[in-house]
Amino acid sequence: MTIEDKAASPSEAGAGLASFALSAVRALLGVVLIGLVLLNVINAVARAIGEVVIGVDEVLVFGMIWMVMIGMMLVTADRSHIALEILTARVGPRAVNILSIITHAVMAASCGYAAVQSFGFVQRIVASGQTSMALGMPMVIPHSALLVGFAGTAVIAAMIVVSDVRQLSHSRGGRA
Amino acid sequence: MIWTLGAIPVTLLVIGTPIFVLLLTGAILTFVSFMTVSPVAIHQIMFGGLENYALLAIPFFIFAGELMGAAGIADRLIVWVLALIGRMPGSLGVATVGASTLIGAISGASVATVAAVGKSIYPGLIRDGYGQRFSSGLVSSSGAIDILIPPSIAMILYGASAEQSIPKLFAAGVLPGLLMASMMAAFVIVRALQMNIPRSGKFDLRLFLSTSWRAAPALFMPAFVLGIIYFGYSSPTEAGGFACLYAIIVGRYIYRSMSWQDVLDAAARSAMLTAQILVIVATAALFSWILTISGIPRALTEWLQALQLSQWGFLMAINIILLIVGCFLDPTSAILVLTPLLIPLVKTVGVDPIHFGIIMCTNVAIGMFTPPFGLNIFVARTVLGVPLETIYRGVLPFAVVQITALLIITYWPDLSLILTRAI
Repeated sequence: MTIEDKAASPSEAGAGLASFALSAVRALLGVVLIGLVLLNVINAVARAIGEVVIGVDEVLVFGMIWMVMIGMMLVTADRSHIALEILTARVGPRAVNILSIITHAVMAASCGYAAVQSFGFVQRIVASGQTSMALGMPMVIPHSALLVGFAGTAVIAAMIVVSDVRQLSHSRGGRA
Repeated sequence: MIWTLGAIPVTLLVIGTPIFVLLLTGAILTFVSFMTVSPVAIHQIMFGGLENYALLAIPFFIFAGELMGAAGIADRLIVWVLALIGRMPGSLGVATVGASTLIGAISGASVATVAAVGKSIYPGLIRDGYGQRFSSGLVSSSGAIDILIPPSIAMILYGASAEQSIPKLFAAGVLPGLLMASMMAAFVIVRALQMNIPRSGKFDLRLFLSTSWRAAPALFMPAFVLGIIYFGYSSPTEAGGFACLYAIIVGRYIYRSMSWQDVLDAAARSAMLTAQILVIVATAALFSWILTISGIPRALTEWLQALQLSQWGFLMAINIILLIVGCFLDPTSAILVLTPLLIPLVKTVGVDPIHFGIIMCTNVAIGMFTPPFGLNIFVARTVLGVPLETIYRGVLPFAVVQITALLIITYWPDLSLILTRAI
């Protein structure tokens, strides 16, 4: 084995980095969920003993929205969104590849469009300086979750399309 | 508009596009092609769909279920049910139904129940002579009872979508869930007698007491969760949080079977599962809004009134439609897409929306194990290693049992509503 063989190629290093980043974000989401659970319990106990903690409901709901939107990106990267596998379970690998390109291209386009509209809405929120009712939190914070989630999902879906197209062309080249 | 709200989403569904994408794509195309409202509203409606405190119960109950699996609580419940049933004919088969019902009372996730019960009981079922077909069918179909036994994620989604009380839905599900479990158990006993399954063991009081002691913290969990809701100490969302904390304390400090890393892993898995479900909630809110603005529910209501169907005929038609939909769509998508369409019709024919929620949940529960795409079937195939065709044939008798239960639930509203009157 040569030194060149032992050293990770740039693409391998990139894949390793991406995998590490995904694991870190996944763990972060776990921490967020545990935090939401604890906050929820503290809120309920405080209310039971007559103490009112203002704004906890807002933090919980906004935290959940951020968790869902970041999670949407990870689920896209894992290709594990809920879908009907009526065709993909019955066709060959090449057809599965083509269907994946189509569905992820549609995903990239739709999420991209949603991200553009979210950007428009967030700009309006920034301009109006809207804040939440209980905490006075700038509403740009929770609304940005949708912008980040849809933009990120669009980018990841587009990357999957590129990867699937490459795989398809390689398999074609291999057969030729 | 029929293209953007019907043909294109259905085509995308068939080619395997994620459900949230087809709802979003249909909505965007309708916005761009037919509507005068600014498309910035797309963001506002999806945000509004998610900004619902009741939905927080979903990640909490999913997390509670994941913790229960990680802590081995499910295994202790199974051992306890086996010790309780003792020498009854078909005891192991009945234990499968009983364990699924009990685990459902804690987790509310049908798929997790099939995995937990399947791994623990299936080898015993084969050893006792139930056969691959019957055993795999039993495991796959018993998991569906979870959807009716509170706490149920399907009920939370229906409650949020139809603007109905979630505690009332939980209460309404208890008796129908127990009816379904009883009918399944009765069928298992009859089949065990027909198959001459040997009676395994006998009732041993000492064994029962020792397993009860070991399972007590797990058995107390459903009573604790439902108790704090119905005695007014907390909302279903807060009860979900308490259920997680309870499972962590039991798993970490009483059973000592769970590390902090297990807790973090369970939380991360739960967050991902939550994202899968709630992103559909957001896009379904957008799709439903467009359907409503387009007057489709009103048109359907008028069409139904013109048909002059009786309540009996309406419910039969709805059951047939939901059973067919359930064969293809997962419960989350089926409930979120159909509830806004069906609720106006339900009110028109005078069906109680809480009762209808239970009817809908029963239908999607049956859809969890009916071919070709019942999720439980695929879990059973993975966990049990049984060919798909064997499971397909195995679930059919249980589908007949559960459809019979569905008819009783549909045409006997008091079964669902009697407990709700106490709230």
